[in-house]
Amino acid sequence: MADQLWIYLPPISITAAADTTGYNTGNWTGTLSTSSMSLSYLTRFECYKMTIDGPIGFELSVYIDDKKWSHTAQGWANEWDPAHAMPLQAGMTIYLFWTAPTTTSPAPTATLWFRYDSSIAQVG
Amino acid sequence: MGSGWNNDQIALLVLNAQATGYSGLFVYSPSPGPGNLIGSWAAAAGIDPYGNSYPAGLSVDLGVLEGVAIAATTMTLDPGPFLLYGNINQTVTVFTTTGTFTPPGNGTVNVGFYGAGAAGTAHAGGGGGEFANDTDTVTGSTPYTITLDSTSTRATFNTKTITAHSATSATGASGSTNAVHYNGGNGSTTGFAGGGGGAGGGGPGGNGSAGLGGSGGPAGGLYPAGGEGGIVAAGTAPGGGGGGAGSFAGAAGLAVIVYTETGGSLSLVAAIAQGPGTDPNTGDTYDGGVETFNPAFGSGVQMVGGILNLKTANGTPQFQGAAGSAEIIAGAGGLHAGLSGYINFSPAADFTNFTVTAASFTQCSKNWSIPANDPQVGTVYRLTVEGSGTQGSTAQTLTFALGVSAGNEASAGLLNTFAAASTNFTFKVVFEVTFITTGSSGTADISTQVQGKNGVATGFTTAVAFDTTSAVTLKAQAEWGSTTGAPTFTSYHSVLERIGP
Repeated sequence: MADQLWIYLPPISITAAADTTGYNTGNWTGTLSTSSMSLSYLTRFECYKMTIDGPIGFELSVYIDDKKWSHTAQGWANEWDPAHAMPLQAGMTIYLFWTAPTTTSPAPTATLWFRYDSSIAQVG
Repeated sequence: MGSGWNNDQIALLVLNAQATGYSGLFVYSPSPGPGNLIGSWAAAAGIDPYGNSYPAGLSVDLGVLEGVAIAATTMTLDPGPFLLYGNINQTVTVFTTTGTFTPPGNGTVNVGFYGAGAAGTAHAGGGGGEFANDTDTVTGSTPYTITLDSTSTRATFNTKTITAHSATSATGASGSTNAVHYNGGNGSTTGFAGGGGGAGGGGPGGNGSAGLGGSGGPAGGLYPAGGEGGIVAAGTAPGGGGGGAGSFAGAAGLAVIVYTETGGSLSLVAAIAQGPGTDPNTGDTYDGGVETFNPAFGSGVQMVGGILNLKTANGTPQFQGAAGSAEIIAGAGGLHAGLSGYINFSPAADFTNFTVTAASFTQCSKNWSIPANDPQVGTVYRLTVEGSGTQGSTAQTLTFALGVSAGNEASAGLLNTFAAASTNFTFKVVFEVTFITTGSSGTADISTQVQGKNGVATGFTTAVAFDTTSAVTLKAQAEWGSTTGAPTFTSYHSVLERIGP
């Protein structure tokens, strides 16, 4: 296997809004659609780090589309630096489901960091 | 952590602490390093990689270890002393019926309320009462009504109403919106009527089941466990539902109010020390042994070197029976017990010499003081005086009397033949004061019996007035019939005994 040559993409910050997915009704939900990232030329890329903040005392679940990827009981003042990065393909959507009701403040925020392996053949 | 989240919370933590090596739980501040170990929990004592020593077991090396209660098999003073401080302006008040709570000053209350349990019916156990716990502020000298009835146990303080509902049916009470609240357990409604669940204490009350009463919630802090549901019986307090086909009653509710005055200061309330010393932080002094303190007047109870010292606000320690009655009272002169017997005054003897040569009553014993309220109906005080002397060259009579506030009572005179002229003699005189009634208009009989070489004399006075609500002084008095021939005697000692209740 060839050595990986990471190409780092600009981080993306999002602010949660009232849930519209129906999976986290009444609570804060952060949504990041990779379709909006102009990355359709990539076969695979990954989110290798995430920082989050939000109302104290609430949990966070991370979904890729409708599949749960991660969970933390501390959904505020936290960062995610995993041993295995989150594999993504263009078109996938990352959902951040906070258990915090939208009556709580501040509205949660997250910053996600992406990269891709330049050794992997890309589309087009 | 394996999840990748740097600040995570976990549901289970198991440490395999090894008996050797650097193993266990170690807390450093601000970071691991020499002198930064602030707590540890290890299987064996050791030294960490930074040179910090740690003991076997749990060690909290910084700050205050806080908790509601500590249960331990042994506690070691290392090095001691053990100084216990408490907020002297904190009280715990319990209401079992409706009443008024009036705090002495501005402060906070932490209350534990229990609703009443419901009575059982012919076919169902009664539900248990609800438990509610919350805090609020209170204003000094303001009366707050604490209501306990079949609806709820409730009170409104400065900013909120705290309510623990009472059960009215087989369903356990619920509905409180206070910070902590637990529903009462349900009474059984099937088959043989079981009891209702008890009120929640530290947790929810259990449900009753057929033929089995529900268990009360556990105790929490100063708040007792909820009552048990009854099994063919009434529920137990607080808040247990009644059960059984006999329609047994539910138990009453309960209100516990822990009041803490704002700005109330901590004060030394107890000390256990190897020797006397001073707390360098507060300046409080303590003695060796075990000592408790009453903030109003300093030391209260001391046990030092096998000696029990009692100090009370009025100087009269009392040992009280179960009903609060004074069984043993320590007066200024010693102790006296109730009808179980008597304890002599201590010291009971005085060795002051008194010489009498006058033909008028002259004191011949010390002034023996009987403390206020010490005499009881039937109490006898016996004063004995002994001495020796020389009859005058002209023999004279010798008269003794007991000097009391009413005067010289129960005179007893020896004829002048009790001792031949110019001869030496010894004598012994015994006074007895027997209390008939007590109080400000108390009365006592006084008797005198004197023996002097060849003579005997007695004297008796009935119903002499005494105000036993004040201290009473007794003293022996004597006078010669005349000074002709220069008669004289000297008393060597006097003894006072207390007999009876």
